[in-house]
Amino acid sequence: MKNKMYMYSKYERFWHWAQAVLIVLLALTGFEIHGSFHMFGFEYAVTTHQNAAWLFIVLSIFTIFWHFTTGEWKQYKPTRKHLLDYVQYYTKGIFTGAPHPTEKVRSQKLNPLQRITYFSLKVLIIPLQTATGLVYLYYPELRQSGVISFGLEATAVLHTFLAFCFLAFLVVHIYLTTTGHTLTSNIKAMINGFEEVEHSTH
Amino acid sequence: MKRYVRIIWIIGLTSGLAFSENQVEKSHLTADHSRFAELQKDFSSGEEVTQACNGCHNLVDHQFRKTVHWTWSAPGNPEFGKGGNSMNNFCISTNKMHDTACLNCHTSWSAKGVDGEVNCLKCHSGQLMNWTEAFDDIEGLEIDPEDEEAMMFAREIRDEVHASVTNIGLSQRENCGSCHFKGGGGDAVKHGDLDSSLLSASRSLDVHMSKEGGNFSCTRCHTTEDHHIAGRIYADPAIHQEQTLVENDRASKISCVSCHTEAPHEASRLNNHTRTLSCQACHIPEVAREEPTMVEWDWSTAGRRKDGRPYKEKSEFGGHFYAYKSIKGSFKWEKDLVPEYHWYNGSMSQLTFGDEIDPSQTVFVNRPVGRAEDGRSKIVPFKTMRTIQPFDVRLKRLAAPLLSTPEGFWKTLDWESALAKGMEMQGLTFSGEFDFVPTEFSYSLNHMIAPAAEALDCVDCHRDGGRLEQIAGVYIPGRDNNPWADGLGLGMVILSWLGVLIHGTLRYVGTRKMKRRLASEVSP
Repeated sequence: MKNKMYMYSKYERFWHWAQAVLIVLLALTGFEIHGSFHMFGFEYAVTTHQNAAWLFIVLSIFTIFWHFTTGEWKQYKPTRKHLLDYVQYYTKGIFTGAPHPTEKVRSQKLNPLQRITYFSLKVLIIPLQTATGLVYLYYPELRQSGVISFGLEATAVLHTFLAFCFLAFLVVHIYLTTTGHTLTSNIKAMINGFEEVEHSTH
Repeated sequence: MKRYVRIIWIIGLTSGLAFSENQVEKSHLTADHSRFAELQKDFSSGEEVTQACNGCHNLVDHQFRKTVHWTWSAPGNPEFGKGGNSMNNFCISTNKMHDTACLNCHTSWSAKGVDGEVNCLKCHSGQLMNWTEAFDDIEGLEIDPEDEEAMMFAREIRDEVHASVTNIGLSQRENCGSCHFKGGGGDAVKHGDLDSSLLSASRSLDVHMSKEGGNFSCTRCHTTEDHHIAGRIYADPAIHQEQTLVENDRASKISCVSCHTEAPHEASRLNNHTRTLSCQACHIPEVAREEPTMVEWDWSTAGRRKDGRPYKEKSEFGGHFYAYKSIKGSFKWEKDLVPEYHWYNGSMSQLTFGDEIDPSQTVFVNRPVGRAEDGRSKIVPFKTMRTIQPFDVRLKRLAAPLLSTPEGFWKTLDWESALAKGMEMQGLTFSGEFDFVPTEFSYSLNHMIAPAAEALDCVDCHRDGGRLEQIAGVYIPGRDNNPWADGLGLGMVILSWLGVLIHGTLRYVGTRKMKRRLASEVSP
């Protein structure tokens, strides 16, 4: 029996995919600048990285606004409720086909593990990456005006390390999309908004 | 139709205007020297010409005798400079201006050095010639006024001298180049960024000096105050403070910043580079792009003879680019030379003949001064000259051989006497025991600026093993990384992959097992 639920609003889906494209683009151009491989050519990589970064910042501003006006930010509040259940589910139950400990509904989209991950992404990793990126971009000016006193190297190294964090997140994130009700139910939901769920609440 | 005709007319007119604007040589001269009565005479010596010049230009002699072009010594420190105890690693020394071959490039008449009179024509005549030889010839030819043929020849030479003396103006490329293109003993030998190819530079060779570009003469940037010409580098930098002409229209125009400002690029990303990189670093992609320049000189092989006589061997470049000369030793030349890069604050530290050296290592005859951290230095391109040259084994000092004159090495091929004579002229002792030691000399590169499109690419430096591989004290994305951060980051990504792979496999195996169990529970 198939039950479908409207899970992701239009803006949420737009935000998700725009962010996905930008992060992949930033990673590709960023690691080219880092010297990891050659793909776009250095100059083009730098320009693209810079443009994508500004788009990312604009997108983030809109999305922060969206989070607060819709109240969606509450979904990301970390909680200990069912935390252990989910740890057990992902380390045991999932291998024997056990059901998810709680139902995924529109008002409770994220399980406690997701909440911790996305919360730290939004509050720690993304702001830090944006900040180091801006310092990198305006380093000579900031240094000359005495706003900062640390070196470009520290900025660059932290920026690069955080980029690796994004990469690791991406690997796990894409894998976990297959752990919904069916292998593709999560991805489909993020495309058309409707997610196949285990039980209907209606 | 009418409209088109009118448009064509307008295009024709405006392009005609633009054309004439470019074509007319603007002149800043207010006097035509060919019409001065003082110059309408038969001069019989250079000194007489100078007297005529000084008759009107009554401050010039006093001014000029204080300049580096006359004294060959560093302002305020006569120990330094080619007339003092400084050296290079080409012909090594002028032996305190006693080596007469060197004095061919001195701004005095008849190679008399600082004891002579100033030769104004060398720098200001639009028609260069060997005046000293001409005056000698005239004197010889006019001994017998009855000899009509000789007198006619003399007249011809006099006319030539007259044309040369009356064709006076601001120094042109030919004037400066007659010495500065030939440093090190011949065209293109010494600098790599200064040679006769600049006389009619293509746009790609020198964007400022080419006809299509600015058609600049040397003096356009090497501006002058009291005959002091901007640009000479000793311990004292050529520029103390870079200023744009907007900030100070009387500042010397010797730095790129004077006209181009600190933010010359459209892209701010590139302008961010100007705090660490000199303009030259990117805009002189290679030097010796037309003529080869000397990169190595081994004096220790000099003095060989073939059949009892000195000889020469040409290099692959032909011309005056020899591979071996008995009087000088062995040479290596290079074209399209990639510069070497150093942090540089504008000062050179300079070894003198009085300084002790460590002959077990390469001796730096001069060295660019600067560090990333000093807040003033920039990364600047240099041509490095590598030489093997004589030194005093006992006193541990580089030694200055006398080269020209009948007693010099070029005549005698005898090191011992040439070094003894040379050091005596230098005013220093020589133990008599000598050997050869490798040395390095750096020339900062400032000329032959290529058009923007031919400047270096990002990846010439922003990569492993790029041009700035040896430059410390600056983080260059693409060249540098922190092995800890990269290792930790990459490890994290690999662990994520492994985790996902193991988790996925366990899920697959687990659900298959479960399905089989379900099936077996149903089937019996």
